[in-house]
Formats: sequence, C-alpha cells, structure tokens
Amino acid sequence: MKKLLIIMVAVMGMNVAMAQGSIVEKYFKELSGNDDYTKVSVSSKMFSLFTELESGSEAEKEFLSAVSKLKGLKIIASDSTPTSRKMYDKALKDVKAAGYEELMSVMDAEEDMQFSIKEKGGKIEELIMVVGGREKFVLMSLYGEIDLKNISKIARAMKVGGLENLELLDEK
Amino acid sequence: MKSSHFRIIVGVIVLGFISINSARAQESILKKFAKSKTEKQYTFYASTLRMLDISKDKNLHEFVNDVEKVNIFLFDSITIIDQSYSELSDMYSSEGFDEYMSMQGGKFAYIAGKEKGKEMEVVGVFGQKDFAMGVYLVGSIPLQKIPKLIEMIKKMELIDLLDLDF
Repeated sequence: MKKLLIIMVAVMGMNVAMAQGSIVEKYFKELSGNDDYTKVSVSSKMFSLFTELESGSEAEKEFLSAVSKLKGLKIIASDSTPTSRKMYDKALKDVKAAGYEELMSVMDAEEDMQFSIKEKGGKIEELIMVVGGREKFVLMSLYGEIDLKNISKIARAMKVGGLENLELLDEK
Repeated sequence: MKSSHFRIIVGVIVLGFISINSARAQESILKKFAKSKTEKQYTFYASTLRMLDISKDKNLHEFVNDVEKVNIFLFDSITIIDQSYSELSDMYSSEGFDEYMSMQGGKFAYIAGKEKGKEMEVVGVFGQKDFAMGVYLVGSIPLQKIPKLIEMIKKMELIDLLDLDF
C-alpha cells in the first residue's frame, strides 16, 4: 500500500513537472531546426547573465530577490516570419485549450499581445506572453513561483528582447 | 588497526579516485571533441584571469581566486560550418549536467553545470555563423557568480555571443 502511494505521488510529481512550460516545450519541438525562430531556455540561476547590474549593488540584490522563487524562462521569438499572424492565433488557441487564464491583452496597429497565467493553490506558477506583429512572433513562458509585483523589476533589469512587454503588467 | 577502520580508509581512497576520474572524464568530453577541431586553445588560472580582467572589478577578483582552471577552445572553420559543437549539449546532459541556459536558431549557446560539494564544473558551448567556442571551468565558485564570470570571458573580446536583443 505504502509503495503504491509512493508510486502515485511520483507519477503526480512527473505530471506537474511535464505541465510546466509544456506549451512552450511543444513549440520548441515543433520549431527545432527552424532557424527563423530563436529558442532560448534560461534557468533562474543564469538570469543575471542577461543584466547589466553592478556586482554586489543594491539593484542586483533586489533583482536576485525578485527572481529567487522563479525556476526559469523559455522564449521562442522571430522578427522575420511571414506566418506570424497564423502562429499568434495558433498559440492563443493552444494557451486557452491548456487551461491558462487570460490576464491582459493589448491590441494596436503594430502588434497584439496577450498575457495568461496558470495558478495553483492561489499561487501563479506560470506566466505566458504571446506577441504577434506583422512579421514578429514571441511566445514566452516564465515559470516558478511568480509574484506579479516583481515582474516589471525583472523585465527592466533583463536585457532580453520581448521581455520589456512585461512592464505593461505594472500598468494594470 | 581495526579492520573496520581499514575498510573506511580504503573506501575513502576508492571514492576519491572515482571522483577524480569522473571529473577528468567530464573535462575530457570537451577536450576529446576539441582535439582535432580546435584552432586555438587557452587555459587560464586564477592569476591569469585577474590579469585579463579589463574592468578591474574588485568583486570579480575575489571570486576568481576560487577558479581552479578555465579552458577555452576556439573551434575551427569546419566545425563552425557543420555545427557539430551542438552535439556537446547532449553529451553533457547525459553526464548529468544541469542545463542552466540554452539557445538555438541562428546562434547556439549551451551552459550547464554540475556541483560536487563546494566544487563546481561548468561547461559552455557557443556558436554563430562565423565563430564557435567551448569553455570548461572548474573551481569552488558560488553558482550566482557564474554569470559574472561568463560576462568577464565575454569582455575578453574573444566573442560576443550572448546578445539576445532580437
């Protein structure tokens, strides 16, 4: 009985792990070998690689505290894909079908974007951003334990294209 | 000497050998790969890294002290074109290295590491259209300092591959 319980817990744990970033993982697989799309995966341990914060500074301490509960970031991006609109619509459909809750959407002449979240036990465990422009497509997943108050701090500090859109969440 | 003490001592020696050989094996993955595919190879130690730090960052100097060795391999033109360096990511993943960062599509980047107590092994493989390199680092460096060290290697003006401003 005890063994069965351990196996069940292990299987449930595997499912949770697989669920994290699963939408983006699916696109990573679909677009592997397609050089039109840049695919980036960054563990939170390496977030500071993409900042220009001074070592040991107050700003760096603040940033490290903001990312301490995050696990990682995955991005798929292209600024020269003729199928950007198709990709955007497909991604929104997949995000909705996977049970993510829409947080905010922005539409203008240049590009459209949508932020969605996945919550568990009152905590946000994944934030998905989808951006679609004339030839631009971005699909981003930030996962771990997410505090929306810290999102704009992270977005400002990290010099990663597309991440600046997260600052919009601060204006919500 | 009691036989139980003897067994413990023998066990510690055997474990020591296993861990030394295991560390060398992981370093040799890159070394073996680079053997016939490298145009230039650099090896830096704490003292030489301090000399090369053009920013003269005091904080950097402190943790560079704990770097045992950094190997940098600049791959040759054939390897740059065939992009065979990307296979290194699978090789290191199968050795139990944790992936810290990866990038594919146009540019290639892979950074992974393995912690053994205080000692840390980090491997980095970077490639783009006209340049590719492999980095192997060993030392007792705090994990959160690794990005700064990679940043320092970037500042050596050997390469600028981690520009993600697409």
